[in-house]
Order: sequence, then C-alpha cells, then structure tokens
Amino acid sequence: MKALRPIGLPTGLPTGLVTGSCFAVVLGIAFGAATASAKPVGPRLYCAHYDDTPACRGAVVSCAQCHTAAPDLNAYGIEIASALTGPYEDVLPEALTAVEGNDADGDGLSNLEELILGTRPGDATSFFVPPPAPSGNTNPRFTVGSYDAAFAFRRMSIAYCGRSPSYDEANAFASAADQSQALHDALDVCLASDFWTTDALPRLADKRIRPLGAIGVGGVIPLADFAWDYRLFVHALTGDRDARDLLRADYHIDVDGNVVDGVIAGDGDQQVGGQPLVVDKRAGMITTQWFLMIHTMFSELPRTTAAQAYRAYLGQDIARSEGLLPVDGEPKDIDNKGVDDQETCIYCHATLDPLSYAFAGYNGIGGSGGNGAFDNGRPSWTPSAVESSLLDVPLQNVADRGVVDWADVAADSPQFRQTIATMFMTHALGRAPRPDELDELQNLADRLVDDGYRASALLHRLVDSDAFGVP
Amino acid sequence: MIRPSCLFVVALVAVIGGIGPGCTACTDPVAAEGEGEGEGEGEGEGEEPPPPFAISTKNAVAWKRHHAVERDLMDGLALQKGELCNELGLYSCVDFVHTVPLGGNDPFVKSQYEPLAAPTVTTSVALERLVLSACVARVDKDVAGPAVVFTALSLGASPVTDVEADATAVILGRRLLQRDLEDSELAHLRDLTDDGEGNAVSARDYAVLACLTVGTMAETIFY
Repeated sequence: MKALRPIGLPTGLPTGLVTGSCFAVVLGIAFGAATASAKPVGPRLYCAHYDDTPACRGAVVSCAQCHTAAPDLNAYGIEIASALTGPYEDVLPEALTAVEGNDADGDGLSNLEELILGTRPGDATSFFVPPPAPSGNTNPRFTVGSYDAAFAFRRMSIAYCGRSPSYDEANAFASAADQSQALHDALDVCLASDFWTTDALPRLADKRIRPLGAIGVGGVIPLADFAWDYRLFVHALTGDRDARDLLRADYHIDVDGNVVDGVIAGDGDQQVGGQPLVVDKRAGMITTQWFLMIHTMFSELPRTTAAQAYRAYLGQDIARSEGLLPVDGEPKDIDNKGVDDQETCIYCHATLDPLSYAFAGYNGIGGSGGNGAFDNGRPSWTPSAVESSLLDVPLQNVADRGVVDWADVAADSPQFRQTIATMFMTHALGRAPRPDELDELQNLADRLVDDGYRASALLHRLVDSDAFGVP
Repeated sequence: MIRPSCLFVVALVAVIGGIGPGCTACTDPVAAEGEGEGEGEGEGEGEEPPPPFAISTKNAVAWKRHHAVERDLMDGLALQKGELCNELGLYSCVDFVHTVPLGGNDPFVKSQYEPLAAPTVTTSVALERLVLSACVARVDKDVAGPAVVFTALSLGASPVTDVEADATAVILGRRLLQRDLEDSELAHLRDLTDDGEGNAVSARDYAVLACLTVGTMAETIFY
C-alpha cells in the first residue's frame, strides 16, 4: 500500500447522517462550505485499499468509479455512502469491504468481482463474462482457444510490417522447425521497416503531439515544427533505446536521424521551427517548441500543457476525472482565474495546478527567447509561493529546474509503464485490452523495468502473449 | 459487360459476409449482420448451418487498416502505389479521399488524432472502390500483356472454362488471401462465369469479378 499524504480534512462525521447525494459532498469535498482545502480524497483512499485492482494499477482510479458526474453518485457510490459508519477517511476502507458482496448495478457480477475484473461496479453496461471455451471438431485453419503461432505470425506481420505474409512466407513459417524463433526473427525485421518507423509509430504519436498543419512549418501561420516531435517519438521507441527518453531526452533528432544537443536556431524573433532550450531545461516530448507552443500559448500558468503531459505519457486524463491526487492547500489560484471559487473547479485544480507550476517558466507563443523558450521573466508570482507536485512527489526548485524533475518522476512511475504497455497492446489488438487480458498487460508494464525500458523488448513479449496469439 | 447492380450485390456479399468459410476463426458481429443481409438480397440460401468445427469465442477480430490493405493489394496484384485508386486521377483513395472509412486518420489537416475504432457503413463501399480499381488495373495490364496474375485465362476469349476459372481462383486466393481456397469457395467463383441469366461472361469480366470477389472477402479487412 502506498503511504498517504496528510491532507487535513475535517473529521467527526456523525454516524448515520450521510446518505445519497449528501455523500457526494462528503466524498468529494468534505463538509461545510467549500474552501481551498476541500478536495476529492476518494481516489487516493480507494487505491490505497485496492492497490492491486486494475483500476489502480499504474493509475489512480477515476472519479467515475463512484460518481456519474461528481458530485452525483452512481449506484456503487450510493452503496458505499450508505455503509459509512464514521468519519469518511477513517471508515471508507471498511465501507468498501462491506459492499463487496453486493451487486450495485445489477449486472450479475458482485462489486468485488467487478473490481477484480476491472469493470465498473456502478455501471450496468460495464461487465465482463469470460468467453466459453471453443467446442467442436478441430478447426482446419486456426488453433482456436490456444496460442496459434501462424495466427500470431500473420497478426505480427500486419501490425508491424503493414502487410500480410505472402502465401510463400506463410507456408515457410508453417514448416519452420522453430516457429517461435521464426516469429521473433520476423518481428525484428518488421520493427526496422519503413512501415513501423514512418507510418505506424507516428500514428501512435498523433494524439500525444497533436499536430496542426496550419501552424506548423509550411503552414499558413507557422509557429513551431512538430516534425521534431515525431522524430524524437520514433527514436525513443525504436532500436534498443530507453522509452523513458520520451520524457527525459535532453536532445533532439534532426532530419537525418542524428542526435543534436542544445539550442537549434529557428526563424525570426520567435525562433519558429527551431528548438530554443538548453540541455538542462530539456525534458523529452514535453519541452519541444511545438508542445509548449500548442498547449501553453499565452497562459501564465500552463494548465493545458501539464494536463496534456499527464494524459499523453501517464495515461491520466484530468478532464475525465482521472489521476486526481489533490495537494493540501491547493488550488491557490495563483493566477487569479477563479479556480478556487467553486467546488466543481476545486475537484480537479487541487491536482492540476500543482502539476502545472513546473511548466510556468516556459514560453508558449511569444516572449523573451521565442516560442517555447525558458524565460526567467516568467511567471509573475514568487516561486516560493507555490509547491509543485506530481504523483504525490513534491518537486523542488522548479523555477530553476523547469520540468526536468517532473519528467524524471513521471518516467520512473508505474503510470508511465502502464501507458506505454497499453499503447502498444491496444495497437496490436486493434482494441483496448479486455479484463481477461489485463494480467498480461500488467506483466508487459512490469517487465519494462527488467528490459531497460526498451519498446522492442516489450513488443517481443507482446507477440508471445495469449492476448496476441490466441484466436 | 458486368451489370452494376450485379457487381454491387457480389461485392456487398463478399465484403460483409464473405464467401464460404472465409473467416473460420471468428464470429465477428459485423460479419454476422452482413450474412443475413446478403442472403436476403439474392442468394436465397437461408440460414447457414453452424460450422462443423470449433470456432473462436473471443469475438475479437481486428480491422486491417488502410495501408495494410493497400500494401496487400499492391503485393497481390503486382501493382505500384500510383496504379491503385485515384479519384479524378488525382487524389489517392487510400491517403486522401477514403482514408477514414478505410481505417486511417488525418492528424495534420483534419486534426483527427485517432482512427475510428470500428468500420463505418461506408467502409465496405470504400473497400469495394479500392479493390475494384486495382482489379481493373491489373486486368488491363494483363490484357496488354504479358499477363502476371491472370495467366490461366485467355483474356481475349469467351467463355471461361471451369478449369480456367478454378485455376484463376487458386491464383487469386494465394495472392490476395495468402491461402488455398476451399472447394466451396471455388464453386462460388465458378458461378461467376455465368451472368445469372444463362449468358457466359467474357474472360476479362470474369477476371474482374473474381478478383473483386476474392479481394473484398471479409478476411481482406478482418484478421
């Protein structure tokens, strides 16, 4: 279980007073008038109790586990609320246990069964029934129900070479003395193919880079060049490289594939198309000129930038109430945007704002040094007035270090491993992993550490998995 | 000549229903819906009996996306990228016009950062357009000679014999589906030598029809 950070919520809830929608206030923001210290503590407490369930593996459970739209509760949340017998923080684990045998959403699976499967116990449309074992005579073409090397070979070829194996290749594979070796040899060839490096991998980067041709180099109003981003993404996830370079690279990749360090000149006062950061302010994909320009734009506190980094590389989408780990005393509303005015803002900003402080020293569009430059004149507030935090780890001296420490914490987190494994598994299967495949997904994420975070090693493990190779 | 309505029915049946046991490892819901439609429109064979062998219960076929389909057509029909479908002779069907229904996405202009999760109602139409274009291109090249794919046919002659039809079907199965066709599939394709009204189709038209039918079977885009 992860040690919880003290958050200073009021205690002393009278037993029996919390029911139904009233619990929403309790669950989300404690009692009484909303203040800057009120925040959703449920996800952190929940994952401390159920740390080995799919919703908490490499993630912080989404508010949607108990809420329809916070603070409104779903059926599971209402059951938990009804089971509370004392102060929320003290008795939530007991309440969670008390309702494990119930079936809150009436889908035929108990709450505990759903937690173990990774489906949502408060949503009747979210359930999983394992497929029955295939029955009947031997299938002439597939080994249904168990690992089929020929099926895996075909899937591998389409996924990583971008084509089906030819008739002759399929026959040669079928007669190979060691099909496993043949599969992995072929995978190595595919992972070096133009399809993988110039087509499939860049498409996995799209939603992380979020290019926009009109303001890219060559566009109508060029502001930055996202080609740098695509090259770094592919570089970090090919060869025997460490995938953590997605977040920790202090270099760039030029058009010829060479590693280049330091400032790269661009055009005009805003250095458009270049890379304005010195090495010690670089942090992989989240400090390229494009990433900072497109997300920060004119913001003094780059919340969108931090949220996209959190979403793209740690799999936590704050807009979907994911990854909420509120920091005590937040949000401070340091830039006077009114994010501490309403409970519904506080829910997310108690997590989001501390994530964002580390990005505040970087320009978006304009500013001294050009688009995406580190500007000592930013931000307007005193650095000591805020405390930066990521995944419950306080970050020191972000005014000087920028997001370098943010990226280090992120790169070594289970959230990053889970995100990388999920990205590749989803691509390979053409769909999200299902509940009976989550153990294999977890294994892929965990083994990244042993494999030096090499994407190639993960993919070699993936093609051996039942999720990949069982038709 | 091939009547357009005939082409459409053949392609529709082939795309979403498959012919014969073309997808023996899956019970894909998309394919399952299509089977009913195809039979209702003209095949008249009633509900198919359950397969005489074990089938997958995972219901998890994957969608082969645009570039893999394109590459398979190029490899299978020995065509270059530029010889595949170009609308108005200018715009690539795969890279531009029909990218989305064929499973791709356009991040740079349309800000579409992820492809569709599942095929749309226009996927089968776009696939038919792509495959038909490729088949016509290959047949035209083979007519001009030397033949590369339709080597078992006398493309200037009519009618097509069963032997020629079977030999052509075997070639197409190996080139486009990377496998040997089942006897039942060969029989279906043999039917294409007749226009349905007792008239023999030309060798050239048979070549296009057989190519389109094999090239739009469910396993062309699901695996």
